[in-house]
Amino acid sequence: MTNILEITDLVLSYGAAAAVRGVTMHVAEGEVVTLIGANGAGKSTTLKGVVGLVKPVSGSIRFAGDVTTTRRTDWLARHGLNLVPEGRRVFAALTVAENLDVAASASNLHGAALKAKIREIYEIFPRLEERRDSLSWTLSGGEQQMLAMGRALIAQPRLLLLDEPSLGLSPKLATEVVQLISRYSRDHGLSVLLVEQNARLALSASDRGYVMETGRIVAEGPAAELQDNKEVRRAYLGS
Amino acid sequence: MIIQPLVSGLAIGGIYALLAVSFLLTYRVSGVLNFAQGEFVMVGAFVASTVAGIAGIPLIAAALLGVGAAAFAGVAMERVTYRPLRNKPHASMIISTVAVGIVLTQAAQLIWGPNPRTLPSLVPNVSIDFLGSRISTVSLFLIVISAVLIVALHLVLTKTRLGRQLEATSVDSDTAQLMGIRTGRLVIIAFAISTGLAGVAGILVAPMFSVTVGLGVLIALKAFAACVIGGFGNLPGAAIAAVGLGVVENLAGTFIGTDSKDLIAFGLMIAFLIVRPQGIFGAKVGEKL
Ligand SMILES: Nc1ncnc2c1ncn2[C@@H]1O[C@H](COP(=O)(O)OP(=O)(O)O)[C@@H](O)[C@H]1O
Ligand SMILES: [Mg+2]
Repeated sequence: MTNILEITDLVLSYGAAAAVRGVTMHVAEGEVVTLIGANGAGKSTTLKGVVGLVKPVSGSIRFAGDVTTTRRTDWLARHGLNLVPEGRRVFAALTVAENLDVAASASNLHGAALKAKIREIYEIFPRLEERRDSLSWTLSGGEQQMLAMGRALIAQPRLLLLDEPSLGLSPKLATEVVQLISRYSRDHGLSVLLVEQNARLALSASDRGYVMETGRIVAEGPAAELQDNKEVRRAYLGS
Repeated sequence: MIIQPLVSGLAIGGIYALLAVSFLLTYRVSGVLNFAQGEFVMVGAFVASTVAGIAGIPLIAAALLGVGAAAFAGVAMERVTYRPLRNKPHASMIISTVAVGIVLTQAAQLIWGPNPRTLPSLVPNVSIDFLGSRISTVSLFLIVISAVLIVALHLVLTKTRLGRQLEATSVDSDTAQLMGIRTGRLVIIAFAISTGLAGVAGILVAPMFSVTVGLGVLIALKAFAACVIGGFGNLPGAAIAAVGLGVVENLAGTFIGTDSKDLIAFGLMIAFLIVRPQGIFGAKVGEKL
């Protein structure tokens, strides 16, 4: 299996303070990989590094074999590397439909093909269709998360990065969202790198996982193995 | 009696409104208060007047070239000063726009010399009878063109993908990039539209005065006052405030005395800064571009 994402010895920092201190990880084509770790471990920074919102101090990132570090974030987004950011970041003053339209900037869909894609997204998230003309700041947290994911899917990602999609959702909704992601990945062969604080939920929906502590990977392996790992259970699964 | 000052007020108010929306467009998309905005008024007028002086070139072509020159100068400003400074402290950026204004003024002085120039109006200046008052076709032309351009800009911003991309860039540039939006290009487009509109204002207003390096200074200050009064939150609000400002100061000029015009405009601005700093149409959560 080829790797859609390969990160090698990645170091990222905000000014003097290094947030990611030499991370090596990969995501294979079609795989769902989760990155778990406590608050402040460097998970979001890693994702921002992958999409070029934080420039690496050293190390390399390859997306579908190509080095990404010379590419701008918007270029990567137009070429299938899409991040749903932490906190969803929907455009408050735009309606649901307008948010989806603006997100289609990352696709090369027009006319009928775009309409069909939007239809597909409304089928996945029927609630979005009901609220299509609502300004997105009036949406509930769960609806905003659906919109954020809809925006990413409209870009036709090859690798989807999700930063804490369950944050602020009810346990039931969180489970639904994470399961939906893994189902979509299976059905469409989409590669996913999922960042979660809810380790149990994330591992249950993933093929493999990495555990991050203070900017370093401290454990990795198939999801089932990590779930049984003593250290991981103690630190992240509360047992 | 009141019709005539009202129409002149709407005409000058339309000019203020053009400047106010052009000011807000770059402010919202790039975060810059461009204090050189008024100088692009003068650039458009000077270039148009020079080209119009060449035999055989129709006035409308000269006007379009003037607008193009102002837009081009705006793009140059974005490349030379905005881009390198955009991640530096905000004060550096503001000072740089003041400096650009001074550079443009001095350059214009060197190129066009100290003597005022003239630019004929695009429509013949005749006065027509309207509800018993004499009003000028030039005033009507100003009102129509400003209104058409502002409405067109508003429609582009609210109804097209380009408008949504500008909105996205203005509220959250990082997330806009995640949506594949070429934010750098959009900032350039915002500068070009903004300074191009300032150039249009210059071409519209020049026939009423003469073309000097100071042509746009007072207009830009009044437009700034209108943004304060209307609120920096939305373009239509600022445009309405600008038209209102033009009307009020013109009525004051007619019924109180010409000297009262600027006093009233800036008095209102100071009053708003103190009493209602968010302006009449204050920016609410989820306010549109
Ligand atoms: N914009 C920022 N500026 C400075 N430091 C930051 C910034 N964002 C995050 N950090 C710091 O980087 C470290 C990693 O943060 P982050 O990647 O957000 O962690 P996580 O997503 O795992 O909670 C933390 O110590 C955090 O304080
Ligand atoms: Mg985080």
